[in-house]
Amino acid sequence: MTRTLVFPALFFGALALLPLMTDDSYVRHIAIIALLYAVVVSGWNITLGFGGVFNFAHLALFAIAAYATGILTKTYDWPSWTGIPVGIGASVIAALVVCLPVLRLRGIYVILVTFGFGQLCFQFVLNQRELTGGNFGFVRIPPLKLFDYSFRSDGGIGYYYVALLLLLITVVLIHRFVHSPFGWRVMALRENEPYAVARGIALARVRLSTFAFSAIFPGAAGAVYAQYVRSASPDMFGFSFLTIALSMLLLGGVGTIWGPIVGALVFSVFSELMTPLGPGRYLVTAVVIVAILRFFPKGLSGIPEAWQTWRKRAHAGRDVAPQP
Amino acid sequence: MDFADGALSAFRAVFASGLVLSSLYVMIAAGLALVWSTLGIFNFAHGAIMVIGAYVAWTVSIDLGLGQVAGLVAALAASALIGVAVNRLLVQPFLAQPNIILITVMTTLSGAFFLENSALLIWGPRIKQLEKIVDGNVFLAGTAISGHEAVIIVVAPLMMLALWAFLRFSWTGKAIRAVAQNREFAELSGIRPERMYAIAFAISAALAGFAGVMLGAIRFITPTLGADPLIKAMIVVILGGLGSIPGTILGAYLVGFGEAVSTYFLGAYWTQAMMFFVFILILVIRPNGLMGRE
Amino acid sequence: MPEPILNVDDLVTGYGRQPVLHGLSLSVLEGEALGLIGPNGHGKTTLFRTVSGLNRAWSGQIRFMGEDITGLSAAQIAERGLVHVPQGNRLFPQMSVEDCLDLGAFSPAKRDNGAATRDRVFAIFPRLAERRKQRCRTLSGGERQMVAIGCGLMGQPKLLILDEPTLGLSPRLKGELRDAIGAIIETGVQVLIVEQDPEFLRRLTTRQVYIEEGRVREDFDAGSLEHDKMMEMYFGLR
Repeated sequence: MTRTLVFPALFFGALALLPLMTDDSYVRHIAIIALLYAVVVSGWNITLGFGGVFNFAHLALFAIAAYATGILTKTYDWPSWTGIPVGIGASVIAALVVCLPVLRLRGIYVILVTFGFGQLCFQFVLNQRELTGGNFGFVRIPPLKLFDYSFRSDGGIGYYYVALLLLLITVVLIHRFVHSPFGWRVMALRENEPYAVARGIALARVRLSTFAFSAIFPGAAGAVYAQYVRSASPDMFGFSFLTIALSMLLLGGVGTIWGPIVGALVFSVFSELMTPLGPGRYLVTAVVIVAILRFFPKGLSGIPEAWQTWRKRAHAGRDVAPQP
Repeated sequence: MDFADGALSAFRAVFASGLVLSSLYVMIAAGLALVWSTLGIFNFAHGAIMVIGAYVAWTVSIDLGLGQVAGLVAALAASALIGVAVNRLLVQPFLAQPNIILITVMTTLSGAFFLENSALLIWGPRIKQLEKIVDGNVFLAGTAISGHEAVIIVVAPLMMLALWAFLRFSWTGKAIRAVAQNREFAELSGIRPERMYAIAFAISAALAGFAGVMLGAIRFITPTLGADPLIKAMIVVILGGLGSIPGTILGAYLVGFGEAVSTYFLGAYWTQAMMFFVFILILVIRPNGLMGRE
Repeated sequence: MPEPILNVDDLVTGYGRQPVLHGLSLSVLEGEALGLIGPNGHGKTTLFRTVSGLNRAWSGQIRFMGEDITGLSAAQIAERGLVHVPQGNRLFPQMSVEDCLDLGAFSPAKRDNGAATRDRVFAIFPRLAERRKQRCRTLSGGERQMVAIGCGLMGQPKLLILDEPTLGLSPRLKGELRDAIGAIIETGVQVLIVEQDPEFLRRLTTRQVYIEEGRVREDFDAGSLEHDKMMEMYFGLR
């Protein structure tokens, strides 16, 4: 076993053993949600972190997957195992649709159009009350069942392992992505778009593939989420959900494989610890986001590096030129 | 009722409601556009500032019973102050960074989150409403609208005129435009950019606060009251070509009347979806907005 | 020896972590017009930007009329009468020439004299009077440079620092601008000019300084900047 595999092995090993340490249903619930968040945010990191494209419709993809899974498995009686494929399919299709206008746009317009797309979906969900449940959300989604085993039994332990497996697959896929020619193209476009295009990178194709790839993760997570909490609500298109996911991403560090995962898990724990504060915890969240952007623009993943430069500087004395 | 009568009554209803909506959007969007053209950032906390304005007016005028004028003044002062704070805490520290637009989207989004939840903590979840500025109804093109709405219709263009004159003729207004067009040269001319940014933000936020007070009397005040108008104002600003006052005014009346027409014929639910669809479509066809230049 | 109007002492600054000025010292004496010359990328513009407060000094001191101005903001320094006309300026592109000039006298103390100063600017650059209502972005390069210098004059400077005022201009325009700057000097405004053309500097300034690698390399007395010496220093023909 190479050194680089030690940390991932320890990480997933510890998480796999977690249910043995506690079977408290509350802890399990938080853990499942946190793992799903980690998957969603890792997917967002592909467009936002590695691709440098601000896709503010990413959380809408999660919501779309949840609704698609719910509607097809409940209203149309599709077997529950189709949930994840359905979620991924819906999410990828939606991502491709949202990517089309993005191909022609830059900067703030990308944010506004992708955000507008989320709002469009939100209005559609409110509109189609018979189909989506409208304002009240889509409820009583059938739980996941495989070979007569309902994942609701045994305190939801099945969902925990499904979520953990999703996260493992996420890490493997993103790791391969980062070290693949496709990943290099995506990052080249982020670093210097005109130059990358001049060197023969097909902007439209790469961007569409990036969106489609990143949509797999909210798709799968949205499906599992819908089957786990057994509902999908229009709030999933809102500002608050977006802000929370964004803070996880920023907290962990944009453009790294482990950053968003650590960010999602740390933030979830942190957020639970703050529950007694009531709505006050959202105030703390907002302050934390701004503070991270201000003082740790690289998030938690920037801390080791910052520590090293600090130590280097302390060693070198005061001959390092100050920043203007 | 024959066809001509039907068309006439449709026109009347659409005209009056379109005018009210447009006037509200103009006030909200103008502030957004002012900050965009001065600092090149999009303030996602704009809607939340508007809400705080409405709440402060409620506390002062109704809860404390100090009257509407005091309420309005307090709302303007509070929102301007919050605007200055947003600028100081969420915008200025990041101004030197290359991806300033994207960073400030995140910081102002957090600011909005902060303000909305503060409003929830301070004023609670129960809905509130302000009193109308004037009682009674006014007939406009054969349709009755409330006197309050008539005030909105009249005041909005006047405010735009005042804003335009301020930016065009006053020393401070010119200096704000100067900083927007060439910050370094403005500094070398003796203009302090930080001060101009603060003033622009204060004016922008005060406009939002004013809109909040106007809106708070015809809709119910909740912590998330600002979200929908903010999104509409963004559409307005984009259509107007980002930042120019005349473009913003035109955009506001387009969106306001478009919404009124569509609501009349398609209903409220489809209208919202329709607007986003049209908005996305327009950006795909004209990536710099309807009136935008490269 | 009279107190220098501007005194730069052991100035170190740069961009990021890269120093550009390595301890530069320089004075502008009362009554003199000083010219700076030297190859591109060796710190002349950086020196001006630091003196006028656009860049921050890492160490060293800048004194203007006896006052320590190191670390003051650009606006504060402009208010004190040290006015920097930057290189290749695009001005305020959407504003009229008139508004642009007026803003040059932005600080309240200078506004009162604004109209009178503007008339003086129009007397020096009659072409600007013709174009007073025109937007700055529609001006030619030469006209823009005139507006930039005009804005500087509107700030009622005691010391006007000009960064390559003739950059990219035709020889005819260059001559015109040189005469205008000469006229400005005659009205008693002291100048500090960066130029690439030694001939230009020799006609306008009383003393020239050669800057290389972020330091003052050579100090010439009045009018002694010779062509041969210049060639030698620029091209290393020794």
